[in-house]
Amino acid sequence: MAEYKILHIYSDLLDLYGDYTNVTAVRRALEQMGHSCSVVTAQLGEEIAPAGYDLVYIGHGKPKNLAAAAGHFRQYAAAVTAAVEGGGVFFITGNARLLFGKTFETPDGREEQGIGLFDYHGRETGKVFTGDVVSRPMFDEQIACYGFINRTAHIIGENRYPLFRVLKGPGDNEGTGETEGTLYKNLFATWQMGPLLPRNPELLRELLRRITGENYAEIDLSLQERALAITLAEFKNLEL
Amino acid sequence: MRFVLAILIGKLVRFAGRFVGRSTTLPGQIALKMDSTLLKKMKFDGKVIAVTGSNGKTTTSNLVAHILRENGHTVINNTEGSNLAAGVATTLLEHCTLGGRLHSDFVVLEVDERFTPIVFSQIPLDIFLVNNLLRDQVVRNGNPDIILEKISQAVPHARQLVLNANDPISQQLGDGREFVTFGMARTGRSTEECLHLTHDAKVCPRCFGKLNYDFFHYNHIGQFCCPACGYHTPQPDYLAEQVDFESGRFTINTLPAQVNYTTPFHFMNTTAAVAVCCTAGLPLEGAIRGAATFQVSRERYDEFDVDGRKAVLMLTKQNPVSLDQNIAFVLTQESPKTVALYVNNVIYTDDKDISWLYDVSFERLVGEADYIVCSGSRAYDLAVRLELAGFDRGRMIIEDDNKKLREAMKRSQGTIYVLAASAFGDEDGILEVLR
Ligand SMILES: [Zn+2]
Repeated sequence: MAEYKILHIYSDLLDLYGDYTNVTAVRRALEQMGHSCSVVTAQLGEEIAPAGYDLVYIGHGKPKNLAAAAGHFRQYAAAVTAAVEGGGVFFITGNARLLFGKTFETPDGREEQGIGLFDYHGRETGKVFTGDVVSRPMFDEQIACYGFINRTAHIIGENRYPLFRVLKGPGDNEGTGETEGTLYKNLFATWQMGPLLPRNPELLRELLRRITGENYAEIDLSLQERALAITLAEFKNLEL
Repeated sequence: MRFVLAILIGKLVRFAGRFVGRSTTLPGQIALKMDSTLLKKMKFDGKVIAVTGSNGKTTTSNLVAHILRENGHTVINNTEGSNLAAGVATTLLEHCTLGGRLHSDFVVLEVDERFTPIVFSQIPLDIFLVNNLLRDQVVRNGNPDIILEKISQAVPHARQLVLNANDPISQQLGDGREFVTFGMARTGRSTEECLHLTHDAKVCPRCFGKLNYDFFHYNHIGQFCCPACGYHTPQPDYLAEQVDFESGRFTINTLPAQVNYTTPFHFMNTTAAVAVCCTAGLPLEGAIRGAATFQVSRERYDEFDVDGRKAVLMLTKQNPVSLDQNIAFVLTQESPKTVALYVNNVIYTDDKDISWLYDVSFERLVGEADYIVCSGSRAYDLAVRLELAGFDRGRMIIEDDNKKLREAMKRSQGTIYVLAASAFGDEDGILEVLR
C-alpha cells in the first residue's frame, strides 16, 4: 500500500459541469488498488507548489474566472514548468489548457499571459460551441474515447504534442481530420470537459499507470467499459 | 397592412391548430415570418410583466398572473411551452385585436433567458423579474455567465427590475441602476454548508475571492458576504420570514402569508411574485391574499400503480437543480422507497453528454433509497455516476431496455419515485411500460 497525494488547483474558481469527478475517479481507483489517497486544494491567492504531488488537476471554468486565475497562476510558472518537465503527472480539462500556452483573449477583449510552456494562443470567439467528441489517444490508437466540448475559445498555433486524433468533433484548429489536446511527458490536457476519467476507463488506466508506476494493479472497471461501449456504438457511421 | 394580415393569419393558424394540437408556437412563427416587426407594432393598454431565470419561471409567472386576477385585474399570460419569441408572439396573437392591441390590465410573460433581449427590444417592459441564475445543462446554455450576459442586454429595456437578494449571480443585473429585491430569512431547512454539488458561487462573482455564506436555502441561493470586496445580500424589500414547512404559513414583511406547497423554493417563488405584484401597484395585503389561493400545477407530478405498488412520476428538466429538487422531495418521503431514474440523450441535439448528472447530488440518496433503478438510453452512464456517488452495486438495477424495465423493477421494493429527466412527451417510453 502506498500513499498518494492529488493537488486540485482552483477547485472553487474553475468548477463547471462535474469536472471535479476526474479527481474523484482517480482517488477511487487508487483506493480500489489498495492505496490511500488524499486531495489538497489550492485556491486563488494561495501558493501553488506542485512538487511532491502525484497528480495535479485543473478543470474547466467560466471564461471570466479563467481570466482571473491567469495572473495568479503566472506567479508560479517556474514551479509548474519544473514539475511538468520533471515528469509530474498533470490532468487538465477544458479552458484551463489556456493557462499553459503563451497568451489568451479574455471575454472583455484583454489579452492574458499563460505560463508559456506551450506555443499556442487562445482566441475568444464569444460564441458557445458544444458537441460530442470521439477520438483515439496517441498513447494507444486502438482505443476510442468519448468526450464533450463546451467552449467559447479555441487554440491557434502549432500543437506539437497532441493527445487525441479526433474521429468526430472539432480538433484544436476547428478543421477536420485533426488532433486535439496535449500529451507532453506526463501532462494530459484536453478541451473536452466534465467526467472524462469516469467515462473513459482506458484513459483513467493510462493516467494511473503513470501515477503509480510499479504499484499499478488492474482494477474492475467493467461497468465503465460497458457504458462507454454503449455510447460509442451510437456513433453508427464511425468504424470503432 | 402586412401587420394586420400577419395577425389575421396568425389567429387563423392558432384557431386551426387547436384541432391538430400544434398551436403553441406555429402561429407566432408564421406571423413573424410575414411581418418580422410584428412584436414591435403590438400596442399594450396595460402593463407588461416578464419573468425569467433558470428555475421556477413557469410557477412564478403563473403565480403573478393568479395574484393579479384575484385582485380583480384582467391578465393575459403565456405557458411554459411558449416562452421563446415565437411562443410569446403566439400568445399575443391569440389575445390581440386585429389592430394588434392588447386590452388587458396586464400581460404576464414567462420568457426563456436566452430570448429576453430579442423579445424586450421590441415589446415595452414595465416590470422584469429575474428569479435566479443557476447552471443549466451545458448543451443548452454554455455557462451561467453567458446567460447573465444575455439577460443583461434586456435589462435596460425594463422600467423596473425585481431581483433575488439571495442570489449573488443574478443580482449583478442591478449594477448601476435601481431595483427591487425579494429574499428569505434563515429557515428550519437552511444549511451552513451547501447541500448541493451545483454551487455556482463558490467564489465571489465580482472579485473572485472566496464567497462566504451565513446560510444556504438551496444551491448557491442564500445569505452571502464577500470578505474581500464586501458584496453581500442586501436587506430585501420583500422578506419572507417565520417559514413553517408543516403548515405552509410564513410572513412577508411581517404580514401573515400562506402557501400550499412547502419547499424552500416555493416560498421564495411566492415572495418573488408578491414583490412583482406590489411593484405593479397592488397593496401588500392584497398580493399576499391572492397568493394564498394558488395551486401548484401538478402537470409535472403524477401518481399511479405499478404491480400493486404506488409509483410517483416527477418530470424533471435535464438540469442538476431541477433533479436536486426532486431528490429533496424524495428524501422527505417514507421508506421503503425505490428511485427510478430515466435519462436519455440530450434533448434536441441527441448529444451523449451526461456531465450534468455529475452535478446532481445523488450522494444524498445513498442510504436513503433502498433501490435505485437506472433506465433510459444513458442507463449505464447513470450507473457509473451512481457508483461514484457511493451506491452499492447490489442496490442498483440497470436496465436500458424499456421493455424489460417493468420486470426488472420487481427486484426493488417500496414506493417507486420515477424521476424522468427528458423532454415533454419523451417520458412516454417509461410510462408505457410502467402504467
Ligand atoms: Zn468579492
